[in-house]
Amino acid sequence: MMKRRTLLGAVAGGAAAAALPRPAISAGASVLKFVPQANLTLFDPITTTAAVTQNYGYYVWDTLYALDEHLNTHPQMAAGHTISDDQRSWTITLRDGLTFHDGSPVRAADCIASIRRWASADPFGLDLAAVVASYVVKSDKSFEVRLKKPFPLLASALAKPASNVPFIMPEHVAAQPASKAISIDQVIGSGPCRFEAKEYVSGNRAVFTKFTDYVPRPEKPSWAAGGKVVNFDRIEWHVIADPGTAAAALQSGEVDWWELVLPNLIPLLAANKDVVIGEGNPTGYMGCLRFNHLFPPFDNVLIRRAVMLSVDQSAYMRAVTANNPKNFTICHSFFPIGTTYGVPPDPDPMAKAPDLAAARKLIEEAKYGGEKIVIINPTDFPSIQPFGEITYATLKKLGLNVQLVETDWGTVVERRASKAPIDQGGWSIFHTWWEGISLYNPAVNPILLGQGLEGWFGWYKSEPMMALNAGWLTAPTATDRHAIGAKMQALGFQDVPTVPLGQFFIRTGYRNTLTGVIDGAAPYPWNVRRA
Amino acid sequence: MSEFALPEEAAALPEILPPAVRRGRVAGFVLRHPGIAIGGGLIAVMAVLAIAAPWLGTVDPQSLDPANMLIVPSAGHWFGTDMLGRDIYSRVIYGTRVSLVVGFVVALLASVIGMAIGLVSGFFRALDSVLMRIMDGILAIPSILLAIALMALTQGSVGNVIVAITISQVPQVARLVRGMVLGLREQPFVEAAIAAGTRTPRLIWRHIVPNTLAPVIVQATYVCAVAMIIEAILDFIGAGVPPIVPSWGNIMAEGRALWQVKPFIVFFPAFFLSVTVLAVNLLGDGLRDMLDPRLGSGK
Amino acid sequence: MLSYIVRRLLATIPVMGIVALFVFSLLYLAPGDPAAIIAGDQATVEQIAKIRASLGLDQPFVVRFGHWLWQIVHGNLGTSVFTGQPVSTMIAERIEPTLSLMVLTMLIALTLAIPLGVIAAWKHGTWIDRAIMIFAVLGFSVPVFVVAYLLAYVFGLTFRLLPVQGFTPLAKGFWPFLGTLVLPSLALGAIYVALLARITRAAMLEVLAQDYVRTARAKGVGQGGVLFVHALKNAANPVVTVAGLGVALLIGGTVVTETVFAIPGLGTLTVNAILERDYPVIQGVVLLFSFTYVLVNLIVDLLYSVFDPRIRL
Repeated sequence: MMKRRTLLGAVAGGAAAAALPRPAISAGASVLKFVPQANLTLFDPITTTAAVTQNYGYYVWDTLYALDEHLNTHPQMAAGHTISDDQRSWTITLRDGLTFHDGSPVRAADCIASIRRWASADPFGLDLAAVVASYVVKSDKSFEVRLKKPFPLLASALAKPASNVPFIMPEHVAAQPASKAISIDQVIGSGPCRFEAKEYVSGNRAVFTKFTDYVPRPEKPSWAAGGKVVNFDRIEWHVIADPGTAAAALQSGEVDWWELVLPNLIPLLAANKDVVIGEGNPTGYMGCLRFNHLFPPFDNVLIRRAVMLSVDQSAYMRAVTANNPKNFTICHSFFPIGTTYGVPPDPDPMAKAPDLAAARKLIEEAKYGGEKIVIINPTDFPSIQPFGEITYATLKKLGLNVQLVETDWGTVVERRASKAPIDQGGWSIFHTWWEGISLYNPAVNPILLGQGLEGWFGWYKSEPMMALNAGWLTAPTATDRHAIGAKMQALGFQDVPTVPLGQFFIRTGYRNTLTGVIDGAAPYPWNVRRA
Repeated sequence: MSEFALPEEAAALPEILPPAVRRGRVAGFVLRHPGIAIGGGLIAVMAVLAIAAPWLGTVDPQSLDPANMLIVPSAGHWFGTDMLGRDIYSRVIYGTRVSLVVGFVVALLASVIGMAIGLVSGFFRALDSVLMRIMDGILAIPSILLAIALMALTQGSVGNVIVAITISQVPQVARLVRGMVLGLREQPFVEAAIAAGTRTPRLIWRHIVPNTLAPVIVQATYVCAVAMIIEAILDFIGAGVPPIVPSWGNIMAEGRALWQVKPFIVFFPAFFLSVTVLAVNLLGDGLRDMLDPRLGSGK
Repeated sequence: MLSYIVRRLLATIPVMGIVALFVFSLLYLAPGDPAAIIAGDQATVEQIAKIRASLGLDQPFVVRFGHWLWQIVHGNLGTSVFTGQPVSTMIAERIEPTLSLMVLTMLIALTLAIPLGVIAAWKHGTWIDRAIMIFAVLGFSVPVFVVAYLLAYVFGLTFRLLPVQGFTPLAKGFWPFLGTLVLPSLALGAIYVALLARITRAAMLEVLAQDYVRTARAKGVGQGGVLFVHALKNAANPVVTVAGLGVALLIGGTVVTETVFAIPGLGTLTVNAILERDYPVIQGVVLLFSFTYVLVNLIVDLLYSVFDPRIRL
């Protein structure tokens, strides 16, 4: 997930900039003008987890399986699968008529190469890769996945809804390592829209056309599952960096749809009768405060708990939702509220937060010796920057020796990868947010998992947590998984690898001439049409 | 924004006020040098605001109050509040400190360093071409871009902003001083001093420096104005002092996305910034008139 | 003259070399890591290291600089770390808006500033002179983005006369093209008008005091003739110098103006590249800007001899 950079100048290009020279559009062709959350600069949804690249990925590629709005897994490119009696062999068969945008058919070998590449980079994919013995091509349209041990979530893994999404690419493209991004000329899709590489201008526009040879499933669409019927001949992304400008463009009808509306501008748009404010991504975004577990003082669980107890989620949430309680939910959970595992433990460990007195007691108990705390905070991300300021103010109140280091995002992402001690270029705390959907189960949840040095920045290490996760991956039934998820949640609140800061929602805005916009985990291009 | 200070040929401001009868020495000075009087007066006011900020009805400019965000100017918050509920009046008043410190320190540093480089260049031919090529190189990079790049590369802090802007401004002063040194060396009094066996350091100190001082001081005022503007632009772009620091550029950056609906957030810091830069420019023009009669108001 | 131009062009090589080395070192020493930005939030340290290696960013300074220089000598600016597009393509796509903005600004500035300066000098000491000079010092003091917002507020939002953002290429028609450029050019031009008006006035004052102007007057040459033919021609040198120097000012100004008005030009490309640490793009654009600056200085020097034949090159 890359953050939306509303920083001035990050990217420019306006509604009027739409009008750069382009091929003539035949009369009657329908065009959808969409303002994405950020400039599209990376074309490989496996190399990066940038949300904007994931969203473009849904236009261009299709997946073998997909989640519906109830988080149930459905076959998408797959016609179906059979599982052997010992659960160690899955045979997946492809639907008829699947074609890549270069006209070649989608074959089993393409799927295998794509899964392999994805499984070398994605956390859920790595879990899968660890149990795969081999992939075997059965025919052009079916292949077998042989497992070292049962992996009941195989289809769910291949339906992963958010970065990295296991999109199916041609074998020759998927052959390169995941660390080497595919280039703009290698974007050969399997999905409902074709990416027009020639019309792409960084910071200005990206253009997609309907891929007429795409065969949608017959079912009604639900999120990324079901029939992906695109009702526009052409979809143009107009990158508008300035939110005020984007709002103006939507009001004047220069664009049809603005993906993420700046919370402060919602009242302005809501007052316009031609504009509809949609729910947007229903799983929202989860703010989080991440500790560096390698060095004092946050190698001490008591201090981590103290910080958790001092957190006032509503302050963080108000700062990023324009002070509108309709746009956030208190979330005492490592999973988003409203998803399967998003249920706070009982009793709620954060029920009394903010409780500064209790926090101070814990700090005393921990014998905090004045070790320096460095918060690294980006100056150029308005949706993260306030988190750092609020934490800084809170920790000062707790009497901790805290320093706020504010740099641009480019420096923050480099520094948080540093495992050096705090005073040698290291760090103690950073903040970020996650798309709720990307934390929807334990296996994909980096803010909770404890892989240690191989894991997410902060390097929380917990063997019990990893054992629970292993159990979750192989648990035979949903009920078992549920119970394990709750245990992981409880363990998380004991160990506090991360402090959840709340769940907030960013609304979407579109012209009232559009119908069928899906409020999903991504702004899907299908189903929407002009009334 | 000013990329560079006015070159030598730049005109002085005419006297804005009509000539009037002398009334005492102060009044006389004010009438003869209205630029210095108005500019200096405004800067003095700003300096007072900066120093006395805590006692001017301000609250902690960093204290967040998300429950009271985006309040329009009112009795409780004279200039309103920003997106995090901070009091804009307090932030604007405290912001005076950042602008003034950046402006004055950059002016001082750029003058001293530029003068040193200019003197060395003018006197030691061996070093001249190397130094001047480097100065040309820096000059060839637009100073805003140079400052943005330097800031992206360091941690945002007032000190680093000062260093970044100073680097981009030194070449101006260096070239100015070098040019003057080359001219002065041909002057009879300098030639006489050399003939009399005056050693170079003493020569520079006694004969050259005093004669370059006046133009450098005038130039310094323009550097000061430019530095304030660049600082605001850096903040505005998100590459300046950390957002938690109350500075005019930061306040404008925060208000930028909302300028259609809450224009007051941008307005107040913009007004203060413009007035301060104007004051510095007026002072500079006035000093030029006073220190260099040849470029006077042309009467 | 030709040999002079060749010599001058050769002399730009060391300057450009210094710029290149300076920028490259700066970026090398800088914190920030494009690989970490590419990898995104979920990445592990190991994944970032792999991406860095695939981009060649793990190579030592000398190897990277040598490789880049080798490319430059062969006329290749490299490819963007992010989009993988050639830097030259990315720059080419952005030149039209920036160049149009600069040219229009220059035109507006010259047509406004020179008459203003001449009138101020002619009416020297009167209220007209004062008014013009007050305007000039104001234009010099108000930051470009403040002017930009004021203009957008008044003409864009209040009176809805002109678009407040974006850019329409010339190919889409002259009037729409001009419409999107007027406000940005005025905003960017304010400081430039202020500067040029002051210079013109000062230069005119000096010339008007010269003997030959008095002679011309005595010979009965009309007021306009004196001002615009005799005097202005002789006052041209300082004006040209400052106009040329002002190109640097314009280049810097475009960065801010393009951002405020959402114009997809070189300024926004640069700022974005700096923040994303897209090294090849930053280097490419800075080289281009520096080369432009050097070239404009050369043109200014050549113009000297046009306006003043006494100056030999």
